[in-house]
Amino acid sequence: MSGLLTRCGRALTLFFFGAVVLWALVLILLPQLTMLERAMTAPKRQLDSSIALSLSRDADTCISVLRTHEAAPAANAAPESGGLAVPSLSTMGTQPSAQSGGLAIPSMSNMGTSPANGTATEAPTRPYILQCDRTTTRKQMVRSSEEEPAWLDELYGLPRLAVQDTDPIETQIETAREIGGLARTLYTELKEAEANAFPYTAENFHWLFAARAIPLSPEQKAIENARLSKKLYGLLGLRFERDGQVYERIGMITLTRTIAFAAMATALALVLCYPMAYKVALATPPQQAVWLFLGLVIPYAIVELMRVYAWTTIIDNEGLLNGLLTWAGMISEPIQFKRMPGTIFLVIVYTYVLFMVFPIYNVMATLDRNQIEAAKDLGARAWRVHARIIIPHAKPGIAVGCIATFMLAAGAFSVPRIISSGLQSEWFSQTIYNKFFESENSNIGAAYSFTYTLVCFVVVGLFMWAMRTRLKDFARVQ
Amino acid sequence: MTSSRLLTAYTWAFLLFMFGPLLLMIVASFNDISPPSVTDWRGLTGKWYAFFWMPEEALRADEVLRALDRERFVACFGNSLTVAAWVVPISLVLGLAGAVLLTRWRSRANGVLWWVLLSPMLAPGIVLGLSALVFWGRVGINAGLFTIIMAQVTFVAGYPMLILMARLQRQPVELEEAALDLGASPFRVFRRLTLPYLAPALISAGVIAFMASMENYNTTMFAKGGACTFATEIGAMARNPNGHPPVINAVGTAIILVTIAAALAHTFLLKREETR
Amino acid sequence: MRGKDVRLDGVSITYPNGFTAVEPTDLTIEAGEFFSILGPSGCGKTTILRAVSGFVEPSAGRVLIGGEDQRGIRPNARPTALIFQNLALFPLMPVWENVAFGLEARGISRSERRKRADELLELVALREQADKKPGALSGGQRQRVAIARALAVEPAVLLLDEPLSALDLKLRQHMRAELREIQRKTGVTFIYITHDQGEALTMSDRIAVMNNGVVEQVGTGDDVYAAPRTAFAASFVGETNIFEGRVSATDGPMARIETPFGTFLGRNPTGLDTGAHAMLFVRPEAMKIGAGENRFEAQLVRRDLEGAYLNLVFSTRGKDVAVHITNDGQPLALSGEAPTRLGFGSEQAVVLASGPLARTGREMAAQ
Repeated sequence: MSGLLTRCGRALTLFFFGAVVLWALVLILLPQLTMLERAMTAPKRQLDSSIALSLSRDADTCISVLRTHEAAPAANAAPESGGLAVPSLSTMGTQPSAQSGGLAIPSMSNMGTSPANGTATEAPTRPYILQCDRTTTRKQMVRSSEEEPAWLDELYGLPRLAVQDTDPIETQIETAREIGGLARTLYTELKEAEANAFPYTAENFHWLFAARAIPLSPEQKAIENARLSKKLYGLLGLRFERDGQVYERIGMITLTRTIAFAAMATALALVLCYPMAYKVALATPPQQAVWLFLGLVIPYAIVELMRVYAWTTIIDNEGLLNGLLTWAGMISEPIQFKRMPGTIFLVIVYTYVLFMVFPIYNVMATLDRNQIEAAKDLGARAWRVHARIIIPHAKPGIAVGCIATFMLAAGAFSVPRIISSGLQSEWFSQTIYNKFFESENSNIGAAYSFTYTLVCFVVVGLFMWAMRTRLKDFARVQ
Repeated sequence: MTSSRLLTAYTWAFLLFMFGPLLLMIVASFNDISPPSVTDWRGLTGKWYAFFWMPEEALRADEVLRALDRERFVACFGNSLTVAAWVVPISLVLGLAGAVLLTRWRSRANGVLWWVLLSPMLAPGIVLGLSALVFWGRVGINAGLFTIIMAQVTFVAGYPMLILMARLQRQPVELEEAALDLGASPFRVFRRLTLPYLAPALISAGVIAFMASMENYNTTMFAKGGACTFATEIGAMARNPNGHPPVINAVGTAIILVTIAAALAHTFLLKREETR
Repeated sequence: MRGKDVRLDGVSITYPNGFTAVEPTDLTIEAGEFFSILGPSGCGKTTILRAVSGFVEPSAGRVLIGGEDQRGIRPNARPTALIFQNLALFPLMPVWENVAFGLEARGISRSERRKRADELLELVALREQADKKPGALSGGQRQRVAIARALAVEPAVLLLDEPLSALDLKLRQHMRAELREIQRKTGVTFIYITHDQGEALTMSDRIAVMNNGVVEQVGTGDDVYAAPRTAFAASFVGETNIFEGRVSATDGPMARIETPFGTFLGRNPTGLDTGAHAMLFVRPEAMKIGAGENRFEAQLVRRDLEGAYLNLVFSTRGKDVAVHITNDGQPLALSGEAPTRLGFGSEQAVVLASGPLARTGREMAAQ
């Protein structure tokens, strides 16, 4: 600190510290903390209290609608005896969308009877009212798909009440009032409990591990079971069978696959790039190396999206590859390359491969060529020169290149989005996008995103530890 | 001898792999068919380029081009320039501050600072965009150009930092000490010695920051809200159900030509510098 | 320009990692003096220099320049100028701007700066090079630019941190004379750091010999060379032969020392008592063949010609003894077979307490 003060003076030191603190806090740390907070917050509408609240509101609405019905029974009775079923029918269409536990059945059965006999004892005393239908203590609570379904009446010891449309209207109003009262009391209690309760939950993270039933016919199942990737998922506990039904932990599978693909892409990029870096840095006279270097810089500098678009000409259904195959008579129908995970993998390698070349090249170029001469002079063969001199020297560059490529590949979003037009959710980044912007609960997206960051950092950290790389190498290599 | 031949052959194969798709993209940009293709040749055309300046009537007459929104495209490009105009200077200032602290501040906190400041470069781009969106939303600022700028600065500032740091480390500490010893104030030392010394690095860092900002898609997509930039607009065209219009190939070709010209100019300047 | 005196008053310097670079030191450097601090690398001499210039604050004690306590005064406010080992010329500024940089910092107008710079460049004979960049100059020229730049701020004390170490031998010898000349002309106090005893002996008014953060001896070149006070000073300054043993008798200013090679008489400047572990130091040029009051026999093992001198190496009971004799052009009448009688005068030998020695070339090479 004092050294810095002597060198830079008070004003500049303050300025630099201020800038760095702003950058570190406002742009890096606080946003991640906010993400974590979002990830650990259950969405409002999921809370048990909000279900109690909506129940009390439904009860109120039901009562007031019943009142108007009661006040003008004649007006309602006339159309009821004539056209009758029409309002019921029209509401039937909306019914499946209404979340209504077990109550759908009575009104279904009513539907069957009412047109046949308008004066039956079981006949409803009122037309269908959605809110009255929903006014029941038998409410399902929102729980993650792994848990047992929970019900409001069982959970909080309420009597099992429902507004029956066959009861006299008075009774219905009475029941609704009772339910409304219970719900309001419960809401106040729950609200208070929730306000005092620890506001954070790990529930959003559970979604990542949630298992989904995969509907498969027996033949499909046999094919799927034979696939290596599915077997691997089975070994990792990401895929299992229960009662003949196949379950997959979709979130985890996508995450695992993304990390695995990214690692493979990195390894492939390393294999592709090492000879290139060697060629440009050490195996070419400097005069020509300038041009080779240019040949690498140009595709590197071209906008990432354009490099991705360039591939569509090749892999389109009417693209070069399909054109060639058809012309050669090998296929009659175009192959859907765009839908293949392998294609996305290939384009990701193409797009990010050069991020591997430059770190390795930069380090290799600092190697004194005399060392290679000396080693050869002492009788070392080419592979030994690489193993004992060039690779140890280039190690920091290799490590940095691997980390850069891995992070880009793991975080790839543009490639799957453009190549497969976002149709497949093969890459975890797309899952995050969908969860965050296109699903009801964006907090799950936040949880996914946070987990993703964590996993990536752990992988990179382990790699750096294994390679004995320090962060400072990034400054030396860049 | 044979192994060096093999290496040369591999080099050419690698360059073909890198340039092949780009060449096909250029060829397709002159083909009168949408979506772009190189297998189905419908005749030479320049209309995918002319899209940007052809008169309105001509635009309406073409069945592919009339579906595109030229104004929006230009507006988004303007947004990109606006974003870059903010991102570049902010990144340079933050990068400079980070570089000075990391190279000159001897402290135990130094290691932590390394991790914090470099973490955005290691994090997946989408996470940065998303967290900027969430954080500024929490503060009360809706997603838009502002969140795009903040999200981009988060990681773009790392590039100037690394570049400036490399140069600062090469500057002998004695230079600053000598100037201080001669009676210069720290501010004068910074202005007369450090900044001129860093100038070439600042310029290249600025260019790299500009390019990173212009081409950024992953981070921007998540932070943009209702706004658009050049990159997101280009990316959005991929979702066209009939395949993307060859206008993109035309834009790509233009970018490739500009890149090649810039790279060549840079190389020649370097060579002239060396021979001098 | 007038030099000021520099006083170190109990200065000690300990780094945050616990390493003590300088043990508590008292040192007075007179105004207008050419003062050298001589010691091996890592002995703390550069740290003392940095404490005087203000880049390091002493952990204890005071630094006084012209009688004023310098505590809390930043480097840019002290009446000192520092010449760095690597010179630290500003690569992007032409020579004259380098020289005038200190004036620029003091807010002096450009034309005035240019005038002063030209005068100073005249002094160091570099007027013609004023508009070149430092990179285009030769080593000796850069050296002189650094001196001119430091002198431009009219310092009372000029601090030089081994500024000649990067030059080749001939140039180095020339620059010694030039530095001395500039010091004489300007009257500025020079504090000169070096590990090269030749530089220290030829240029300095006084020399401080340092080892392990401790100033072992302060004195004129003649003093330090002829009358060392510690084993380290004796072994570091100049070549010497060492005979280790025990003091067997004292006689006024003289002491008799018993060694495995014989019993010798030498001066006893530090007043060692009988029975003390001691070392006897004799310069190679003080050794005589067949003469001197202290005598012993040895076998000639090597003979190296070094121009004006003949460097002879003898061996006695496994110990090498160096003897320098003037080369008078006559063939040496010694053979390797018969033992030779060697001797030295007791006035040319010094008996000092045993202590750490400077490392020999062989020890350095072995490390």
